[in-house]
Amino acid sequence: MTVDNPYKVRNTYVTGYSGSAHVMMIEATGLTYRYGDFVAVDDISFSVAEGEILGFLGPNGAGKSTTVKMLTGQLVPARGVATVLGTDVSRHPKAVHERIGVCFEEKNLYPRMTVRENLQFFADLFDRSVDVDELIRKVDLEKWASERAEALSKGMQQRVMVARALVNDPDVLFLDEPTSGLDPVSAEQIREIIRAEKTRGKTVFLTTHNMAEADALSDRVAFINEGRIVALDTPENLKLRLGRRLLRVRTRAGDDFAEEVLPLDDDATPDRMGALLRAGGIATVHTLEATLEEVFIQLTGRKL
Amino acid sequence: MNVPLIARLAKKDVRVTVREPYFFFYLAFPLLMTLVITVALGSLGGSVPSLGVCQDDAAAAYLSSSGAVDVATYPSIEAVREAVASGDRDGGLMAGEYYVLLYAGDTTSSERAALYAAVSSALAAASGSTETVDISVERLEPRGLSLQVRLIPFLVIIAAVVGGLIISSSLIEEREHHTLDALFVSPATPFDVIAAKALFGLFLGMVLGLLILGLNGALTSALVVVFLFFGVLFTIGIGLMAGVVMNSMTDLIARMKLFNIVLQFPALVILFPQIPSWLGMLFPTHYFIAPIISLTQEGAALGDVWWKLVVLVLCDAAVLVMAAKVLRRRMSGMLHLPSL
Repeated sequence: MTVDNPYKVRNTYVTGYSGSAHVMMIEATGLTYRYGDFVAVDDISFSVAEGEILGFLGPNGAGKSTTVKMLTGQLVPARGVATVLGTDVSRHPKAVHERIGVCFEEKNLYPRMTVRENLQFFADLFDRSVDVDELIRKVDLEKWASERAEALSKGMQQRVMVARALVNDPDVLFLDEPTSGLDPVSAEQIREIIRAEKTRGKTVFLTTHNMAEADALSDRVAFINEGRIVALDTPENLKLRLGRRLLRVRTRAGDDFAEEVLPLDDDATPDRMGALLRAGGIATVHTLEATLEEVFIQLTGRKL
Repeated sequence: MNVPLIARLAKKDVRVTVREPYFFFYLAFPLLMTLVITVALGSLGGSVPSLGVCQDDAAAAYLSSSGAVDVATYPSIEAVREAVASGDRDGGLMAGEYYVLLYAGDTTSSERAALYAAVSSALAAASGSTETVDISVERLEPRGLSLQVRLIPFLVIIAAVVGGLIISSSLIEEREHHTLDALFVSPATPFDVIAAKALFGLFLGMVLGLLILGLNGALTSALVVVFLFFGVLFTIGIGLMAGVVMNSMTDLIARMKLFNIVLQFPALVILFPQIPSWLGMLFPTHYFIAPIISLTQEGAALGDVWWKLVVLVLCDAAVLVMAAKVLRRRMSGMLHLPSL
């Protein structure tokens, strides 16, 4: 079931990040991309403020990666403008590339080069004096620095790719499914790096289909479905406005348990809760706050 | 064009390519072929040319002691001429009113140069004078190129093809490993990436070609190097196209076997004189290897081969323009890039 989308204004979203004026590091205006007749991204507009982590969520084929490619100058939009750090990406991609870091979903290290060589090579391309060993320490791969990339596990390779994205100390980071398919420890290490970059004031555009991760990391999340943004707000706001506002009360009578679900916004709920408290025997009380996934399902009628 | 960036990319290409298993096969194959042929035909180690001299000639002793030529003495001028004509000797020295140095028809230019140098210094020593002794030079009608000489074009084309193959293999590997995506969100442009690979391929093709020509004693003039350069450049264009058109390394190897026959056809025409020579002229690589043979074996000069150089440069221009178009279209499509 889908509900009316309270955020939508002709598929355009005002950033509203923290409710104050921010420098916009990423601005997408009417971005559209077609693969032949198929419209992969359909007239989307949004912006990301300095120091913000924007979670870009959607199922496979929703248009996430295509959007990232347009924002990073790998694709030229059929219509619309992508501006990163105030520069039109399509017109001046190299000026943008100097100041962004991109971590791809697909593994793309040089397999026959070592971890250190992979990072040093990209540092050389940016013509920057970078302490590659410090980067290696950052992703906890000191022991593997002299190993070829092909010898590393998937999680280790992913960490090298994240380190590579940081090699030019970018102002904006684009991370495309950075924890996809990783074990919990590797995934958490990458999340720590993302948090650390945010603390340093960096802007992060995080593409994922992991709702829990987006919820934990993002200042705001954008839901994209069938090439269109269907919601963009803070995770809290989305859950509050589109989630179910319910209270689940479990009561105990001897060895038996009973459960009752009360709508939070119903006028009768306070009286009913009062009655239950007076009767005694309440075992547990939980608010049934919606998850981001449930919000997404409500908005689109489909699962991630 | 960002030269330092291209240099860094080329350095990476060298580092990555030398670790690929195919690299040593590409490098070793033409060199091994050269070594096998030179060993089989007994020309490895720069064996000295042979000279026939009349036994009563004053220069004979000086020539024998010099070690620069393998000297055999004959009872008469007629016997010397007969030895050269029959192929027993590469050259013969005949004294009369003046000295005549007779070359066998199938001697290489380097052999003729070695014979001339040895004879002129021996005659000067024998005469006890510091003045140059006049020597008249005569060459018998060539009976045809030796087998080793006829194999040179085949080996030189392989060297050039290696330059092109390195590029296409490197491009295919980058596509298979998706590393081009990472490069293109760095300061490197697609042009930088392609230029680095082309330079690496050109360098490798030239080094290999020069080694093969050197091992075969065919590195006799700067013009040879010029033809080698433009010949390798032609295969670089082909390699760039193959790198974006072929789907995988397996695909590349399978198709290169077929395409190699086309590139090698002019070499086959030289290797097998039974094939009408005009057929070779229909293929671009003819204008690369035929002049090298003319220059090194037949004493040709720029005046004889200039038009072939023009044709070769035109072929290069055509293939590079075609490669640029294919790269622009295929890479833009593959990587969704606006342009190169």
